[in-house]
Amino acid sequence: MHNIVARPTLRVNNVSTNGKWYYIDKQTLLGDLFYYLKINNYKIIAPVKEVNGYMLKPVSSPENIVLDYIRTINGPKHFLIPNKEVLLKWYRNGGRIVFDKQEVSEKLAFFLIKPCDANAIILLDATMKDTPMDPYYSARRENSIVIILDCKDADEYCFCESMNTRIPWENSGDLWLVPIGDNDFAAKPLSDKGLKLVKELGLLPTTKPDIRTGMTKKRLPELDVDELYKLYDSNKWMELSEKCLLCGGCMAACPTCTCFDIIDELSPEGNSGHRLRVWDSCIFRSFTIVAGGRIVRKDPIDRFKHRYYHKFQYFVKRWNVYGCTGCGKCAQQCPMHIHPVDILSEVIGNE
Amino acid sequence: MNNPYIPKPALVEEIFDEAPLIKTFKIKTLSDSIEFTPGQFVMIYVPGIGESPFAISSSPFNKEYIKVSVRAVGDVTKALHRLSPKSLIGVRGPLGNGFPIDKFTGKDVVIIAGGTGLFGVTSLLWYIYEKRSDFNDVKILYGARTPRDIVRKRELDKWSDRIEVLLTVDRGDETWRGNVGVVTTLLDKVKINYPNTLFVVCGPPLMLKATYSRLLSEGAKRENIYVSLERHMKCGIGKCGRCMLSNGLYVCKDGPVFTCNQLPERDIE
Repeated sequence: MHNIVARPTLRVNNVSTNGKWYYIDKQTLLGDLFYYLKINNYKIIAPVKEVNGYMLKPVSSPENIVLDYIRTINGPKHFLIPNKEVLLKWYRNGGRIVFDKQEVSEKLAFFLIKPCDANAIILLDATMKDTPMDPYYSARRENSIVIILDCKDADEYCFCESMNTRIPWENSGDLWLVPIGDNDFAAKPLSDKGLKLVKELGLLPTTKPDIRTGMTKKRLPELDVDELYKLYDSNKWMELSEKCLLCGGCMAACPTCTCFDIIDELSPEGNSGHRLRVWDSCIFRSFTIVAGGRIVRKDPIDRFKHRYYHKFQYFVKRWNVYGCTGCGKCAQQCPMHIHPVDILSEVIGNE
Repeated sequence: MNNPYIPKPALVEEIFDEAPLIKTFKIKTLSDSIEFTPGQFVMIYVPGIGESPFAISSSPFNKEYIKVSVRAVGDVTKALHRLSPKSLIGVRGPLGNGFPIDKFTGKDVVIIAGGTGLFGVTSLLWYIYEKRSDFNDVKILYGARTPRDIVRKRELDKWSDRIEVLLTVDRGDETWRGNVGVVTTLLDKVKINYPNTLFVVCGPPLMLKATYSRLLSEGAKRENIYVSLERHMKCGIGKCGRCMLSNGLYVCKDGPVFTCNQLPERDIE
């Protein structure tokens, strides 16, 4: 298929585990490092335990931060592309109309997120920073700092190792923490920002830690994206898609889904208003409705397929990397327990 | 940093009735003018109501204003129809790739439009009209539902000085003396060197599909058939995902102009 316009591809490389590592204990991590970020005016986003699982949430103190977790329900996307963000404000003034942009000044610190979620930011960058850049996303991204907490364990939903996201990618984060005991970590700076942290905290060198691999039980079979494209009309898709409730829960949890709607809100006087970016999903019927009411992907199967094809074929054709990190959030949140690895294995017909 | 979500304030200078349910708007941006390539589009924002994409359907050599034609079928288009001259709106753009004019130079070009699809090729026709000697044989084959539905009559008349214009209607009336039949029937009335001609097709889905099949069966090359697609759009800049085709291409950013070999058949229907 000669179907993709030529454009630069995304080069993702796992960071090297060689180079300098530094020792940091739990107390310094949740004390000195936390407060260093706090006094530097970062809004700290960290994993906390909630009723339905772990969530990344803004925290003002370190007490509720959890260090021992496999996955958060949400991801960095939830803060880098906040749902219902104001894209513009407008008002009428005499005989004029004014359209005003919003200023983004918040500094986000993603504190102890998992490698897969840090890598998801690189995939968000691809879409959101492609020309023309999304100014709101880009400003937040520019102002953010990312502290990655490595994984001790995986569960039945994880498949990062098939997606090459087990190890952080270059530029995904600033500091990578690998647990070397219950209360001790080896830290590797991944950027100048990370190096500055290490220096400010006065961390001392330590030896290179063991990086645990071979943890994920779910494995995606070898995927030839051109083969996958040829399977677009495979009968398998029908039975697989019938299981899906089309609820959009996968999109809400997904750290790489970026689709959105833009809606208007009007002031009561009617002479001013704003436009909001609201998350949307290709799985929804209304998503592709065109002038006159025609719906491009009318049948549930077409919408179900679109989500898979976007992440596992179109994204690869455009960026040379999967649009999925294998974080397992979608499968964990799916009321029908649909797992992408199961779906793709069925479609390509091998285990 | 330039913020691509912020429209330019613009003034609706004049509104013309074009055909039943269709009006044409002459729009002037209040700051810098809009310079565009034929085939590009703009997002027009009706404050408080919403935003929709429209092909720029005026001459790219006209720097004073742009024109768009709007069929009242949805919330934004109906709101546009209710506006009066001097209304203030927002315009983002130009957006999209437009036609690769360089590739048309010196070639035979056959433009085939159905219904409101004429607006998608109007800027191209103006370009060709102004730079007529850059091209070889040029025809526009245009089909409308009835004689009343024919849009841009004065422009069609003007273009006919330099471009071969053929019209047809699906259903005639007592005054109509011209061709009756779908637009592809006009292909029977002209001589075309199919393998060496560039085709531009713009129109409703059924018309696109029928025209595309016919052109291929006559020996046209897929890479020589350009279509301008319409899809629902929100951002217009390749982020919101709405206009993504079933091969991952964005209509707003990679298109709206594609050659047929870039498109899966399921997207041309």
